[in-house]
Amino acid sequence: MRYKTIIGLEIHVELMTDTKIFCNCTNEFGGEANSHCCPVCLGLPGAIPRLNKRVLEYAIKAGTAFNTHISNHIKMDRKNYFYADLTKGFQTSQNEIPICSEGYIEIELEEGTKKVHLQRIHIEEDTGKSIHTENDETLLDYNRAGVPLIEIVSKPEMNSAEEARLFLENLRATLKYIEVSDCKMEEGSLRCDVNINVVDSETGQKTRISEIKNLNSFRSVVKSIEYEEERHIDLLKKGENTDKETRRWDEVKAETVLMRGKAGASDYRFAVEGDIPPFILEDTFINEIQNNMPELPHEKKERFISQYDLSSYDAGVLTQSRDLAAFFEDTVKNINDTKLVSNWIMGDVLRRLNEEDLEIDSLKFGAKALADLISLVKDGKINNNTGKKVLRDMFDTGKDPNTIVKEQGLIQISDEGELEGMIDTVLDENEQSIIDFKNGKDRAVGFLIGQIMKKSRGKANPQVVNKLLLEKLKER
Amino acid sequence: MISKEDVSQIAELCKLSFDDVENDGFIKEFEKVLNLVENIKEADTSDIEPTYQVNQYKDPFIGDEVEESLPQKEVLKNTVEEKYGYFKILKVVD
Repeated sequence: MRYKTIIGLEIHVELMTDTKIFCNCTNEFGGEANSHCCPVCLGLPGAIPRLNKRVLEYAIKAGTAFNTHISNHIKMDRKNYFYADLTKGFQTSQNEIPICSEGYIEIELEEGTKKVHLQRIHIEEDTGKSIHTENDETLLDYNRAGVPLIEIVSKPEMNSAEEARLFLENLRATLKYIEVSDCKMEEGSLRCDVNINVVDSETGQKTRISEIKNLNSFRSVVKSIEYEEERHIDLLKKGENTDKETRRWDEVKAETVLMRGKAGASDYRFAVEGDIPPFILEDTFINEIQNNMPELPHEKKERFISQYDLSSYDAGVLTQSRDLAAFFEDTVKNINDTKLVSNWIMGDVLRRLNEEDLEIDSLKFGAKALADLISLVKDGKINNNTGKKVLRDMFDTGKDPNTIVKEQGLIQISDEGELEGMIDTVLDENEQSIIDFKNGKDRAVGFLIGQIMKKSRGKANPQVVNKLLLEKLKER
Repeated sequence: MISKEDVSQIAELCKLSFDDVENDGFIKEFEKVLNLVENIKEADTSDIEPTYQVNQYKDPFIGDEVEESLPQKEVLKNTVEEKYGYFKILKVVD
């Protein structure tokens, strides 16, 4: 590969605290415009911010999950810039001493595990939200002003869109596991900026870094990286270079668009935040958090492999979210057959959820109901196909599987006498198939089984039908 | 030394503009401040750890407990224009 892509990511994550970072206004998403505001988050003169302790707790949790060094010194800085969504004319952030530094996130590549290192994680406040209308006006809502954020900055160590995607997936899964953020990109609680440039390994020439903003899904992160990669390489090939600039991803046109050049760009004139004096965190506070970390995704995956005897792939799928893993474990508690349970969840359950773009917590039935359904199939009370049909009903109505089976009379027919009657009728109706069978056309058997299943309205036990049919065909 | 360009850049960041006479005035004022700060540089701090606080500041936190916010009407009280509960300003796009 002549051209090497270099990618660094900056991720803003809104923390799931109850209140904002410097005041006691609610941190609830949405709400009527400007109804979650007070003198502190509005930046009114004389208002004094005080730090929400849980913000530190969550930042330390995230820092621990990503193997960072945690700083005892807590110091806030003012990042000055003028924009209407910033009430005070500066954002209270951390510049000089981030609460977490260094650390790494591991991603699984075909050639093995790769460590992508982090530069830092720091805490800061979110800004208000502006809406630009068609009548040349901007409307401002400060409900989001002061919502606690952590900003996670990676080192420029990713070399493809795929690596960036894996990094983000690991990051999101981990943050959701440790319950510091819901990471909903569509609500803006996880936002990602990409820094990218390309090096020509033959000439050593580098393009200048582009920063891409406005990425609201992992898909657009991947697409924009692929687009920029090509743009940078094309310019290098022509002997030209990119400009150091900020670009925006245009979802409709599927291309990046220039937002602003970086020459003469913002000078944030960082200054100490005098309203929040620096202080030293007690070791006990940090240790307490670190000693009570919940199970992380890779730990849960290892446990699933050893405890439930699952393949690495299956364990990986089932532990992709904490809720899904819990659903699996709850189901297994009710029916002790890990292989069957993982097949049902990874097959029909996940397929349906993916089709409808839903998460496991939006299921209308619980783990106990799924276990009951699997038991019905396992005990031969309904056949596998009927089981799938019952599951579809459970998705739609949330009804209990035993109720569905009873209401629709779906109990499997295994009684040989009853089945023989059906088989005889079908054979009488399809003499050509009998001739085909005698002439060695095996397909005829499949056709006949289909007819018998139809006659039984799907309730016949396929194994018994198969056995009886072959006997009967030989007799004829 | 402070140049005319330095003053213009700082003014631009503050979204302010000044005429030449005002600019020259700022050059003198800025230099005065900077010269004062220069004096501090004479102290030898090579062996000294940075001081981040001089108070024994112990529990500067607030708890994560929601309290009532201001009513929307109060929030918007001092604004010149509002619309649908939002602050309304001339369109600004960054």
